[in-house]
Amino acid sequence: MKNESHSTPRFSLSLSAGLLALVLLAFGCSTAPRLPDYHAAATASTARLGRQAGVEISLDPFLDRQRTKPFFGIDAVGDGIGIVFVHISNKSPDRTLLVEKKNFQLVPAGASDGQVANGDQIQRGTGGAQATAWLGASMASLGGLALIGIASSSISHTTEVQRNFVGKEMPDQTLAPGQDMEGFLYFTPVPKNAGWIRGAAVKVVLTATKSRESLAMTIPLSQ
Amino acid sequence: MNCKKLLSRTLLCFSLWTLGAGCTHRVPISVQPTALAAGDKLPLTAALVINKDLLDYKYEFHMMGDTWLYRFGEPLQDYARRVAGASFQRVEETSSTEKAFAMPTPDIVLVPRPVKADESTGLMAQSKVNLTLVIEWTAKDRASQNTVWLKTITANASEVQGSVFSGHKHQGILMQKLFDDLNAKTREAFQSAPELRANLH
Repeated sequence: MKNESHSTPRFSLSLSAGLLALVLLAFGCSTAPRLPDYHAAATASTARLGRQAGVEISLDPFLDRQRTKPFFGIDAVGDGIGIVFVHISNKSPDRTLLVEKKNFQLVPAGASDGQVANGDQIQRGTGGAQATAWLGASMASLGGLALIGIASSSISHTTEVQRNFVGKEMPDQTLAPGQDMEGFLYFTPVPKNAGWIRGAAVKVVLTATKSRESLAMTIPLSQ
Repeated sequence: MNCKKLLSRTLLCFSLWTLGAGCTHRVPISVQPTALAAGDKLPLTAALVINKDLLDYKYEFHMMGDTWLYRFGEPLQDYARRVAGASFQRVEETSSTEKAFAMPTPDIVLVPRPVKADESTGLMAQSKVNLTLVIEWTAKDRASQNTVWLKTITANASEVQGSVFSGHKHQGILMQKLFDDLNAKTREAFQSAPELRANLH
């Protein structure tokens, strides 16, 4: 059964106001901090380069937990999410380029076609954490005060992981001569180990806005 | 079965039903117009497309069986009108790209499109709510219908959640911060777009 209420604060019927007040007294603040922005080194040693007609594209796949955990809050490879940091420089003298995620395709070894970058496929989290949080909150509302602190922390983390994927995703945009842009591409599902890049490449197609000419590159992800 | 037992069982069932049923909460969005930084208006006439996608845009945030519904349509159309009006010499509004291409006077056709939104939050009054809203702006040359400029604006805002007593106030502050950020970034994007300053044809 669904109930709709207008103008409600964020607290649902699931949790009583009095309980929250008690919990606040008991636990104080429990906020998962925002995950930090990623600032790329000039060119990471793990980056692969593609150059053509004055356009330079650097692709840097995030393959280990040590790189994904601080910026994405999860072991993305273990969750089957392929994360690639992209930096594009338009050094052409007079061509503005249209850059769209749908024109970045991950092509596995031996294949001629692959999957398009798409952050929308990363589902709100990691259902397991949500379920744990839900269970914790449910039990808390039935009297287990200690669990609500755990639930709050878990929900904060889970929701921030998802929001952070949206915030860091490479934007679609035009890139004028002399401009640079960057952001992350997400490919999912990929095999749940660092081997997902072995023999794989990213096919990129950029379009010149005036002439409508396409600029195509295939950049291998592994050496 | 004695009365006490019956009452406690009924209460337990009610608690479980309440937890499981899930409610939809409509989040009120009321924002004041953002003061936009002064700057030259681009010497172009723009046809601004306020279409159904923009008007009907809503974001649903699901947590613990409940849904929070953000109807962004109205504030988004106000934002689009204001920021376009502050950035272009002349703006004419229309409801579809096709109609805009058929108009005789505009140099460009401007299409704002909501892409996605997402939110992180906790349960505590002191928990920070982080809200992200992504809007894409496309400018097409009316004559050739080619895309001349595309920009994705990612607006962010953070605010404490607040208690049952102060939650409304903090929600209002969060929305205002979000739309202030969106307005400022969009204005800056228009101002710094070489494609919109060049000769389009």
